[in-house]
Amino acid sequence: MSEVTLSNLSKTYPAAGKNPAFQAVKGIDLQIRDREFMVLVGPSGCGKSTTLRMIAGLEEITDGTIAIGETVVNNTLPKDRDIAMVFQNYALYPHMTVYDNMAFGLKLRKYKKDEIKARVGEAASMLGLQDMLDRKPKALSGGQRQRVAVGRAIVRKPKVFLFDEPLSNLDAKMRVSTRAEISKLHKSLDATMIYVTHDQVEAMTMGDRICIMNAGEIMQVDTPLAVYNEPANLFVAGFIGSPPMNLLYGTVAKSGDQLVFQENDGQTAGIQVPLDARLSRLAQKRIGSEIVFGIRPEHIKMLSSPQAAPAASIPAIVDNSEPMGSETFLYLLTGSHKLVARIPPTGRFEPDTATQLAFETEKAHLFDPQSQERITE
Amino acid sequence: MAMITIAPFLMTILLSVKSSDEVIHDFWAPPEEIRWDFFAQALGFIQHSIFNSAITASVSVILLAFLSSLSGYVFARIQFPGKELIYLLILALMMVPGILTLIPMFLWYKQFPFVGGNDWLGQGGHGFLNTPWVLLVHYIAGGQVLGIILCRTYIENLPQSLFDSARIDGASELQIYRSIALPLCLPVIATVSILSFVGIYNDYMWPLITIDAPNLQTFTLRVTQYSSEHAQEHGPEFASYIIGSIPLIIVFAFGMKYYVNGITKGSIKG
Ligand SMILES: Nc1ncnc2c1ncn2[C@@H]1O[C@H](COP(=O)(O)OP(=O)(O)O)[C@@H](O)[C@H]1O
Ligand SMILES: [Mg+2]
Repeated sequence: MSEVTLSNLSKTYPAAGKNPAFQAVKGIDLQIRDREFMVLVGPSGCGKSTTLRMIAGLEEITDGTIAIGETVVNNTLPKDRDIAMVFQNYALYPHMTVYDNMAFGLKLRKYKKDEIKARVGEAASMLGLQDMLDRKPKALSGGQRQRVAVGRAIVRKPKVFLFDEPLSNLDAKMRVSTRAEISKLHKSLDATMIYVTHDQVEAMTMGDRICIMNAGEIMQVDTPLAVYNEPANLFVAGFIGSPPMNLLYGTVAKSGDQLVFQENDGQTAGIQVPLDARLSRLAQKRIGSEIVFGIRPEHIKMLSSPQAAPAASIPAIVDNSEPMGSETFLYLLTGSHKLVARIPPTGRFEPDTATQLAFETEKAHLFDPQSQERITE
Repeated sequence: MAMITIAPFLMTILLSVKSSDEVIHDFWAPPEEIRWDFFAQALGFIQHSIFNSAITASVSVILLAFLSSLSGYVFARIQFPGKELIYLLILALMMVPGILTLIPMFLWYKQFPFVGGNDWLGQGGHGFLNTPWVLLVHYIAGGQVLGIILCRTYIENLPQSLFDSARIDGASELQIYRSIALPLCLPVIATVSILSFVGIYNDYMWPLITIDAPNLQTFTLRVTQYSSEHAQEHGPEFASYIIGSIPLIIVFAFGMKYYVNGITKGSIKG
């Protein structure tokens, strides 16, 4: 079994010269299951690479433990952890051929020549590198180098694969195809994989589960859809999704016998969103207090004409639109927020015109601005 | 400008094949008779010293290349207390003109304890003087400085992930040096080796003050003795210079090829 268990894992980089000590990872707990594809995602500098490098044994652990299977590996050398790692810049040995790059780890582990040849051959044919075994890395394209880096990892048949942004040096098209290949590889190798990226699309498409990190802490760990549909907090809501969820700051107010979301505290001209039964239940105890109303771009509908507008319609001004071909991102101004709506490509809206929106409130979320958490029943 | 540099070469070639009478009569005129026998005489006179110089330079260069790449690696990759201070001292060494330390250096080699009949205070014997060691040790120690600096800089600029990758692949620090750092440093090492070889081969001052046994004489020492031993004919003297340059030409031809090979490595298919 090769699950990976991080318990209260911390990393503090010691002060160096003018730089003060810096805690890059702040006591995280994470259980990566056997044969799982776990994606660590988060903005640049949030501690993803540091976490991965601690799992690899390349970075000393300040506090907490890492276990691979049943064994705590805190003091195990990288080579004895039965892991392999693929780096962002591939880290191929420039003076060695593709064959030697892949064989290097096996040679050091004293495998027999025939065995090395068989394993490298197998990996090469898996990755379509058979004709390039005699080339040096310089004579390869970015995509090919990336495959060699993956090949070098798989010849060792490790229990756990670690990837640190392996696609970010590729062009957009290669990235999409390689993404699919790595996912396929995961299925055929039947190994545990931990994959670091700052790209939420990669996270959503590749991960069995996603671990979203921010500033050295874990924000949420769940399946891609759960993370998308039920973000645990404001950070996740704003990070996952492209364009991200619209987050409107305001208060819960009472209008007649109905609860409404009132943008901007009612101070300046703000919109009012009537809360449906579910949201009202969530907001019941918060009348008068601050709240964040979250709605995804695809859950905002444009109403064709003001006359047809139901009572719940919301006025807004069109700011600008970004046609993407299959859909259009429409940017709208309400009281003090800029919203984005995802609308069909046929929709045409001139800038600066007034329009009416409807929110699909059954898909909306409420967040507590103090704790940043999503409000649940 | 190029003429200013080239003229002495042409003069040397002319002087090496013309008899002294001819030279005095008309300096620039082509020789009436090419005196190949000058070369034969010259060879007999200097061949042993060329051998001495070439061996001294080769052995020194091989060892200093090895040692400077190893020290460069240690400085680049391994943390130990006082590292930067030691490195700074090494850097400072490069700034001190060799002529300043010539006399202390001489005394140090002469009075090296327990060597060449010396007692523990360095008295009573000749130390390293008049042995091949006085040249080898001096050149290896002195020549390392540039090599250490260049190798350290080069290795430090290699991506960290290369070393991380090798560690995960199972390489020890020594194996990383041998299989990754050393081969990647070869272009730098080739440059340092060529420069050192030329410097050592051409050195005059150090052998002059430390060597007087005839069988240990270097080329530079030997060739200056020609005029004092043979007053009339200058042809063989200049022929000696030409013969003496051959090892340098060989080193350049071989070394440059290696150097160019090193930097374009991997860009060529196959
Ligand atoms: N060797 C180091 N010394 C000091 N600080 C570091 C070092 N490596 C990374 N950091 C800091 O730790 C934080 C997390 O870095 P990293 O794990 O590389 O982030 P990520 O991979 O998520 O972009 C960053 O703020 C970075 O500046
Ligand atoms: Mg990173």
